[in-house]
Amino acid sequence: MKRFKIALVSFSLVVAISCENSDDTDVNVGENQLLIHTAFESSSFLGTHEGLNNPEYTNSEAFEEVAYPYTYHFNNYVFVSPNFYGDVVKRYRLDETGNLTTDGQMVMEENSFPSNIYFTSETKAYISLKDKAKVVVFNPTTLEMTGEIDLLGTEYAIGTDNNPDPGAIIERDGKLFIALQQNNSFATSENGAYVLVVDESSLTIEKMISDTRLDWVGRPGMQETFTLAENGDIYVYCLGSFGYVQGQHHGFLRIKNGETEFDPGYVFNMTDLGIDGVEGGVTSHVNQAYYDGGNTMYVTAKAPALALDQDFFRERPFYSLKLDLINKTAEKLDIPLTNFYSGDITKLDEQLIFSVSSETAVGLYSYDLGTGQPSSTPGITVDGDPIYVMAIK
Amino acid sequence: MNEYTRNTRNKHHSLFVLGFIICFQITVAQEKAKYKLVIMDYESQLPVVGAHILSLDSTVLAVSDVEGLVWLNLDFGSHFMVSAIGYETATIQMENELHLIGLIPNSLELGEVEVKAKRQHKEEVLDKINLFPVSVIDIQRLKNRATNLNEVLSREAGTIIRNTGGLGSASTISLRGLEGNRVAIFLDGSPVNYTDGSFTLNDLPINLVERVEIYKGIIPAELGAPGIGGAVNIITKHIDHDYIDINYMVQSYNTHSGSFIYKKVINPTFELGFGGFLNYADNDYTMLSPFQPGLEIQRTHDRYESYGLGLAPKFNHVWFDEVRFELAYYTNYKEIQGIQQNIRHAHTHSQILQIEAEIEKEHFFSENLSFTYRMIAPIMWSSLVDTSLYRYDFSGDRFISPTGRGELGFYPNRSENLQQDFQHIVNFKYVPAKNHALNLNAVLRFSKNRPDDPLANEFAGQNITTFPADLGSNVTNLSYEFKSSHGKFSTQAGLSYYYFTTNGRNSNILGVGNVEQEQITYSVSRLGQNLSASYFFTTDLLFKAGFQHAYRLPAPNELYGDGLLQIAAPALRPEQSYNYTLGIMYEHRYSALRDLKVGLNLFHMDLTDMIQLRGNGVTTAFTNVGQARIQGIELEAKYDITENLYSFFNATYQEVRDSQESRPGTVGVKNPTFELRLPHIPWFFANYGLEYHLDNWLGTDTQTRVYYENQYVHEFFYEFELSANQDRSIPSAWTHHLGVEHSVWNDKLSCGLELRNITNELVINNFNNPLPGRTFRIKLRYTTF
Repeated sequence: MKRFKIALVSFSLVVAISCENSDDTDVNVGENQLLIHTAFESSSFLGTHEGLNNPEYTNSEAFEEVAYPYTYHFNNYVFVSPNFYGDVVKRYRLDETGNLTTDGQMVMEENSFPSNIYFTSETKAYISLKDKAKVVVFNPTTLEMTGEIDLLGTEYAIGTDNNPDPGAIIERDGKLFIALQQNNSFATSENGAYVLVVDESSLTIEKMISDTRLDWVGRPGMQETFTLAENGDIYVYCLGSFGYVQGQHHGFLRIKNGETEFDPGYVFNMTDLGIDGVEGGVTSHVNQAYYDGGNTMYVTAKAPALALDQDFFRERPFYSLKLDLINKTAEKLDIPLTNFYSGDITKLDEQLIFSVSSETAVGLYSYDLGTGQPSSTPGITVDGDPIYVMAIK
Repeated sequence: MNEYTRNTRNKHHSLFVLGFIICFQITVAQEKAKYKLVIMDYESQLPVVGAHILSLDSTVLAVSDVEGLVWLNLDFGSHFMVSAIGYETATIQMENELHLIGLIPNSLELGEVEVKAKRQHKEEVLDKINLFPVSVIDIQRLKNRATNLNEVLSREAGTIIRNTGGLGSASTISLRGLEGNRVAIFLDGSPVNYTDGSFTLNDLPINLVERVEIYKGIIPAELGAPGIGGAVNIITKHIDHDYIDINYMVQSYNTHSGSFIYKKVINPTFELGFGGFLNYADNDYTMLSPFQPGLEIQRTHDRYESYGLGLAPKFNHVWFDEVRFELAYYTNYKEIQGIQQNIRHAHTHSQILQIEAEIEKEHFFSENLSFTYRMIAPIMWSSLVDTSLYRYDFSGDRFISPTGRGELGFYPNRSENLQQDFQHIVNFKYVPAKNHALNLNAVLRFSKNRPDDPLANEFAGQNITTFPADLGSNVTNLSYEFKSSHGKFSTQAGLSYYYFTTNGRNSNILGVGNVEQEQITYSVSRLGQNLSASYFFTTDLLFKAGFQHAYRLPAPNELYGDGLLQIAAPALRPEQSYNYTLGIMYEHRYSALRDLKVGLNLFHMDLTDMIQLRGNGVTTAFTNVGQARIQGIELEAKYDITENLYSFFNATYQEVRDSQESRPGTVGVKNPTFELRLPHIPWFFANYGLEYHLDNWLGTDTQTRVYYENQYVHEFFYEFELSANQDRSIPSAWTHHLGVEHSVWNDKLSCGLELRNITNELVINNFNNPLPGRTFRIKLRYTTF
C-alpha cells in the first residue's frame, strides 16, 4: 500500500529507508492517531482521527481529493498521488495534534498517471509516472524535482507497447528495484513478473529481471508490493491481473538479501492456494497488505466466487487473511467480508486496524495481535468507505 | 411565450405564459395576400370541419376542410367571422400569416375567453389545453435570432443544457434535476436518444424547427417512450404551401452553420419538401487547464462538421388524409479535444440514413376514430479512429505512444459500428362523445447493434469490441380524457405498459483469454400510471395537477459493458419514479399590447433504483444504487413594461437529494450522504431578459429589435457536500448576452447580431470542461414566407 507502512516495522537493517519512516519515528503528532481516507463516487476525503477513543469519524473537516488516489505517509507529511485523475501531487502537513493542513504540491507531466511514491530520506524520494514510463526523483521537503529515469520506448517494455509501466519502488543496498507492471490494459498485464534494477546513486539501469511463475509485479499504488523482511530479503507481490487473465497467478516472489535476481527456490502462488473458510477456496488478488514482521503479512484478498464485479457496493468479496510468507500458508481471520472500497490495514498500539465496509457496519475493526481476536464491531464507525487507514502516531 | 402581431394601423399584442418568453414581432403584408387559418376546438384541439368563414356582412368566404384548414385572400387588417355549429362565433382581425383559432363550444361561458379564442395561437392552445405540465417554445418567433437550439432550451425554467465544449461537443439536457437517459428526447414524436449519440440536438438549426415542447415530470402517452424525468419533443417545420427559407450564421471560433428549406405544393394532393443544413466549427477557444495549474490551452483539435439532407414527399387526401415519406441523410466528423492531454489525431465520424413514413386519417372507419401510424428506420454507421504512433504534450513535443499506438486508451481504434433501428408508432384516438376521448398508443422498437473494431482486437490479441446485441421494446399507453361540459375542468388518466427484451454478449473482462463470452438475455416488463387534471378558476387563472408513475428501462450500453473496463450488468432493474406536479398560471391583460403573465410550478419526484456508473478504481459497472427525492419550484413571469418594452424572468430552485437512509446493500448502516444534494447537478438558476422593439424605424416594412438577456447558475459541487474543506465545484456563472435583429421587406430578409457572454465569464457546467468565452455571431436569413 501506498504509505510508508513498511517503515512501521521496527527492524532496522541496513536499509536505506531512513529511520524517520519507521514506527519509532519521532513524529510530532499528538491527539490524532489515524489518517483516514474515505472514497465516494467522484471524490475522496482525507482526514485524521483521534483513534479508538472516539467511536465515530466523519468527513466534516476532511480535505477533498480525486476519487481513487494513492496516499502516502512520511514523517509529518502526507502525500496524495492522483492516480489517472490528475497531474498534481499534493502534500499535506500534520501538525503537533495530528491535524492536516495543505502544504504544497508538485505538478507532474501532463496525463502522466502519478502513482507510487517511495521515500528514502527527507531529501530524496521517487515517484512513478506510470503513463509517461518515468520515475521522477524529488525532494520531499522542498518538492523540487531533481532527476528522472525515462523508460519510454526502451527494451524494458514487453508486448506491443512502448511502456513498461513503472510502479512500486524499493531501495536496498544502493540499488533501486522498480516494479515494471507491463500492462496491456488498465486491468491486465503481459504474462510474467518484471523488475528493473537501477543503481541508486547514478540512476543507471543495470538490468531487468523477470520470472514466469507469477504475473504483474505490484498492486498499483501499494507500497507493500515490495516488503523488506528483517533478514534483508525482499518479498515481491505479483497481482496476476486481478484474476482477470486465465493462466496468470498472484502471490509472492522473493529477491534474497544481497541478490539482484528472483529467488528460483521461492514462489508463494496464492492463486492455487486452497484457503479454508474462503468461499470457493481461492483468491484472485490482494487488495491491501501490512507486514508485521516475522515473515507474517496481513492482507485483504478477493474471493472471485463472491464477486461478479457488477455491484461494487453490494458485493463484498474481500477476506482478511494472515499469511506466512515462509511456509506459504494463509489463514482466514474472523473479520467481516468487505467491499471494493475498503480493506486497508495498519497497526496502532499493538493492534491491527482493518478498514471494513460490510453488510452490517462500516468502520475500523481492531485485531488483537496478542490474542488473535478481532473486535466484533467496528471500534470507529466511518462515514464513507475507508479506502485507506494509516497510523500516524 | 409571447408574441407581438402588429402593423402601422392596427396593433395587437399577446403574451402567453408557460412557454419560453421571447419577444418576436411579425409585420405582415398590408396588401391583399393569402392567409392560412386553422380552426380548432378550443377544448379538444381537434380540427373543426365545416366551419364557415364569413365576411362581416355574412358572405361565406370559405369553409374549413377535414384538417380545419382554410386559405383566404384578404386585405391585411380586415375583419372576418368564424362560425360553426355548436360553437360561439368569433370575430377575427387578419393580422398574422397563420391564425390558429380555437373556437369555444357554446356551453363554455367564459366571457373574456371568447376574446382570447379569436386570437388563439397554437402554443397557447398547447400550453393551456394540454393537461400535462408543458412549456412550448415557438421557434418561429426566434427565426431571425442568431442562436441555436441548446441556448433556446437553456432559457427555459427548469432546464439547463450541459455542454462539454463548443459546437458538436457532448451535451445533455438537464430537466428538473434529471438528465441523460432519464430525459427522453423526441424528434417529431420519435425517440432519438436511444441511438449512439451520433446526432446531437444542436446539429439541428433552429430554422428547421417549428417548436419545442418540454414536458416536465410527466410524459404524455402519445409519445410512448420510457423516461422518468420528462421529455423534450422537437417539432420540425411542416408548412403546407410554397416557400423558401435560407439562412447562414457565422460566429467566433470559426463557427458556421446554415440551413435551407424548399417547399413546393405541386397540386392539392402532392407536396414536395427538400431541405438541408451544415455545421462547421473549429472551436479553437482558449481555456485554462484544469489539470496543469496556470497552463493556458488553445483548443486546436476540436473541429466539428456535420451535414444533413432531407427529402419529404407528401400526399394529401389519398384515402388517408395524409401520407408522408421522408428520406434523410446525416453525417458528421469530430476531432477529439484533449483536456488532460494534447490529442492531435483521434477523431470520430458517423453517418445516418433514415427512412420514415407516416399516415394519418381522421374518421378512420368511424366518424369518431382517428388513426396515425409512423415507421422510422434509421441505419447508423459510426467510427472511432485512433491510430497515431505518437502522442503530444501541450507544449507541442511529440513522443512515441506509450501504448504502442493510439492516443486515447490502451489500444488503437478503427471501429466500424453499425446500428439498425426499426420503430413503429401507432396511435388510435376515439372520441365516443363530445367530452370524452380514448387514446391508444404503442411504440415498438427493434434494434441491432453490431460494434466491431478489428484493429483493436488485433492489437489486444483477443476480441474486445465485437459484442453484438439485439433489443426489442414496447411501450403501450391507454388513456382516457374527460372535459366537463362547461369547459372549466379537464382530466386524463392513463396506463402505460413497458416491455423490454435484449440479447447480447457479456463483455466482462473476466473472459480475457478468448474465452467464449456468455450470452445474456434480459427481459423486463412494468406497468405505470398517470393522472392529470386542470381547472379554470377564472378565465385568467388556471390550475393544473399531475401524477405519473414511470419507468426507465436500462439502455443496452448499461447492460452489456464495453469489453474492457466497464463490466456487464445484466441484472439491472428499471429505474422508477413517482412524479407529482402542481401549477398555477395567471394572466392579466392591461391593454391590447400589454400583458402580465405569471406561472408557478411545484414538483416532487421520488426516484428509486437509479442506475449509476460506479467504479472501484480499476473497473466500472452500472448498478441500481441510487434513490433520490426531487423537490422544486419554478417561477416564471412575463411583463410588457410598455408597448415596446418587454421583460421576462424565470427562476428554478430544485433540491435533488439523496433519500436513502441506509447505505445501499447494508442492513441499516447509516448513509453518510442521506439528505445531501446529489452532486454535479445545478440547484438554482435564473434567467432574465429585456427587449425593445420598434417597427418602421429604419424604413417602411422594417422591424428592429434589441434584446439583453442574462443567466445565473449558482455554484454546485462535484461531489456530495461532506466537508468544510471541499473545493471541487462548478463555480457560479452569471452570463450576459446582447443582441439586435433587423428585418426588411416585411420580414423576408433579416440580419441578427448577438454578443454572448459579454463579460467573458468563466463558464463550466461539467466539471473540468471549460466552455467558450465571449462569442460574437451574425446571422442572415431570407424567406419567402
